[in-house]
Amino acid sequence: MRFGKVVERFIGLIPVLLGVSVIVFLMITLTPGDPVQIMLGDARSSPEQEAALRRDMGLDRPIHERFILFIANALRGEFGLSFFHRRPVIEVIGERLPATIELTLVALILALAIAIPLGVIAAVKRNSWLDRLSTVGSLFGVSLPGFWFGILLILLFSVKLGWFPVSGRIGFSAEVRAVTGLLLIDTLLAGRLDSFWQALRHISLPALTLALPMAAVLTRVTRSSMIEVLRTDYVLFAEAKGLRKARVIGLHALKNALIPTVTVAALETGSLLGGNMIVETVFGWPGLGRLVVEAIFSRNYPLVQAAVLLYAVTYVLLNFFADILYTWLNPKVRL
Amino acid sequence: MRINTGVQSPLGLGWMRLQQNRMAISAAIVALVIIAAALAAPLIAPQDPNEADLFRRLQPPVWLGGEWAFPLGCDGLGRDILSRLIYGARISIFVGALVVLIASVVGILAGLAAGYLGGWVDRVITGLVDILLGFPYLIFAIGLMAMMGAGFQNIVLALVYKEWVVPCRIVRGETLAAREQDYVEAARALGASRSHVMLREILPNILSPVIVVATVRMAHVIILEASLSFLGLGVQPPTASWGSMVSEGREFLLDAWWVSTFPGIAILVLVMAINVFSQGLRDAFDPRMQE
Amino acid sequence: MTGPFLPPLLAVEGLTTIFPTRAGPARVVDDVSFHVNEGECLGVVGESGSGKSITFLSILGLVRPPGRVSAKRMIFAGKDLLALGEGERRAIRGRDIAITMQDALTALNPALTVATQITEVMLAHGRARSQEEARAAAIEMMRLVGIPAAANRLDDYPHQFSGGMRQRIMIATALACRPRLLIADEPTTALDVTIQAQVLELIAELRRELRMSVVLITHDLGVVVEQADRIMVMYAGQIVEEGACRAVIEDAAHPYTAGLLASMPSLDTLDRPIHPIRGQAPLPGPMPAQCRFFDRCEQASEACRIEVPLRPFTDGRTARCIRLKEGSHG
Repeated sequence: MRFGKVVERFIGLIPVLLGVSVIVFLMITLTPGDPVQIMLGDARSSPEQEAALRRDMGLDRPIHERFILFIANALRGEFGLSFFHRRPVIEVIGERLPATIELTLVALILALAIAIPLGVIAAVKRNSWLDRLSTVGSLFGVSLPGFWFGILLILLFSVKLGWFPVSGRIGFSAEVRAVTGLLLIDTLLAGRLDSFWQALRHISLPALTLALPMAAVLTRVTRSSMIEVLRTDYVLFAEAKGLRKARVIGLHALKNALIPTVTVAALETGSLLGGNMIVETVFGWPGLGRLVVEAIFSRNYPLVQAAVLLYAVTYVLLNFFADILYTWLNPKVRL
Repeated sequence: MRINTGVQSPLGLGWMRLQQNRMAISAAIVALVIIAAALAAPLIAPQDPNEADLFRRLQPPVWLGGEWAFPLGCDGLGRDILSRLIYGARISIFVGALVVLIASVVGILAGLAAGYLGGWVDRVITGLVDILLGFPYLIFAIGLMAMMGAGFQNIVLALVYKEWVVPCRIVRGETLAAREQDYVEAARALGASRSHVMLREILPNILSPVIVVATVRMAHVIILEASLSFLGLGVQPPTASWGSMVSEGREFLLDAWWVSTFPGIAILVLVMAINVFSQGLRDAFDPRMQE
Repeated sequence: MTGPFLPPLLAVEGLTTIFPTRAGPARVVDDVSFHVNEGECLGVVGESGSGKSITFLSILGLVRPPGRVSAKRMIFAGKDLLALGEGERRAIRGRDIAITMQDALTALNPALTVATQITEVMLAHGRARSQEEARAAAIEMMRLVGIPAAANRLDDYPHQFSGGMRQRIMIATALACRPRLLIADEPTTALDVTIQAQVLELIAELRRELRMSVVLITHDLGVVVEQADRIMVMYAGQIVEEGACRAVIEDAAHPYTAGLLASMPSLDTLDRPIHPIRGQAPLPGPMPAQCRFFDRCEQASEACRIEVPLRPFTDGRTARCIRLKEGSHG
């Protein structure tokens, strides 16, 4: 695809991003109750303090001015102070972000590693017991409540068997200097294999919990696109050339069958963002998701607002990326 | 019983295929049993779901030395888990059904209007749909719940606000296709009003994909409700809901695994039954999806 | 032309391919026996669904389940194909027997470069020992089929070529190992009229140059007339007529062949109306015990309500019609 086309589509995102910010803005603004009262909570405050806070937050201005201010601040990464932490929201979020990114990436890789082989085998050995197993397995996967499955994993593998830690990201003794913020990489950079092993053990169960529903969806997608591709003339032609079965399936069929899988994977990464909140809460994972859940209960609204906006923008960008990826992978559509 | 003329309507064929699908039928039975239990909760629940008794705290299920009066054991407050499960089913099913129902009505109307009327109506609705699609579902719901506060009514609202998008997109697409069909052209040529064409001519013909999708969505909504309740953003205590029951049981994981485990199994069984049935519906009624 | 004392390159006897359908098992290829001589061009003619493509996919071992293939005899170049294992069958595919498909757009893999698709055949069959050698051979092959600037276009994807060029690339792929038998399945159907002649000419040229046998599968008798030495006409899974090309064209023995000829537009039909065959070919499924052309035949009578055998009558010709008596025709 030409660069101009990409830019054109990106410009098309602007109204959506704007609409998303309007909704995030309204979420707080139209909430019943006075935000100042809510934020001050039970703390005793004088009318002067309230008025000062109101002015600080721009609440004394008309709603459209407040929205413009909100957007202008958001563009500068200015989301106000996190009440609980007494620090800028953006800073608090920035600290937690790497943990969430790492968890999401590992879950994504895990989901693909489960789904692609399973989907391919199910398609090639159609109607075999393996195919049926994958069908039942993926129905099971999409029906599984993640929060409960996580608890079950903890109960079995951490509490009873003691194979994995119950919660957290890494032990204190194993901490290394942050370079990328992703512990699996930082520990390797620091040459600490023991720390890497610890980080890996910590991330295994939450990543599995997060990956499973996605793997279920991707298995179905891979299976059905593979079945479709196996019926095409070019696969028949490849067989007629006398190529080995492994090459016909692993190269000729798979390279085409993976196009929908990769596209859906990019889309589904967005739903991992939501799943993060649950999984991070269950596993005490110090990421953004848990931070948001905590912020909701401590009525830390600026943080919630900033995080929801961040999630939504990421989601829109992921969808955009999936769109581009699909076009790029598909030589026939490529212009 | 009608006389079998040998020629089957697509609907009749679909029913026949569905009846032959043993897995789908069993799934439907499982779901119906749970729904019936939820409806008859006051009649069949062995105990009062909210009656706490600290003497029964974390009493194990009957096969682990508990008593028959509390077959699945008791939770941290000594409440009967089975009775809470039966009452909790009401929340899951009611939220699931209500959200999907409201969302379907709103989505169908919006989709018909967007697809049939076109113009600025279409632009406004499609724009709104695109914006709502910009939020991951759970995050949208969590954000709204955080602002609106927990509670049954707010859960339904928070989920409907986003859920209507799903039927809306399907209906819009189907309506666009139906607009070009002969029967719609004919109705229009006969001078039928726009609302007549939309509701009487187009709607009956595009309803089946909406119904099929509605069943899958109900399964999805039930998991979302449970997730919100798990986070403490759902129905408030002491009302029993499966999600909050799992959450409450977390504290006792070490010495009373049953508190968290049974409500989780309940969610899994109900959601999976709905999903399997819905898959059967799709296979039976939507030949395009068949392999 | 080769003498009759040479054994044929391909000899098939009693080939039957069955697919299950809702109505019952369908004999998509029904007891088909024929041969292809060295250096010969055999034209296989029939409407779509007559089983002509499946016949050759069956010989290649490319019929997918639930389809089942059986045969009394299947000899290629002295080797009994029925006795070979899957690995040995595969070694013959693409190396000794190659096939081109109707539409190169769907037969070439959209996600792989032309280089990959041509070189892999040579590498798979040990006709090239290295990537470089295979690339050089691929360029040579592309030149042979008439692709300009072959060396520069090797790393392009199929969609970057025009329809006619794609067809040539598919032919180059099929011929990469210089097979002894090329099965060209509807080589012109997907092409513009102007390019059709070029591709047919190319196949004829390559046949002379590489000294290979060609099976030309087509629904268009006009394509066969100019190229084929012999013709085999198929209808509803069976051979209904077979014989030397000229003889069959000039004097068709089976009403279906006659119908095909009558429905063919050509210069000498300008003064008479084109006469299409009435009705439609039967759907695959169990067939009643009668001539399969019964419903569409203008000369059908009650006597045709039997299983009609394929019978020789004259000049080594055979046909499947009750009105033929030995030696009475031609």
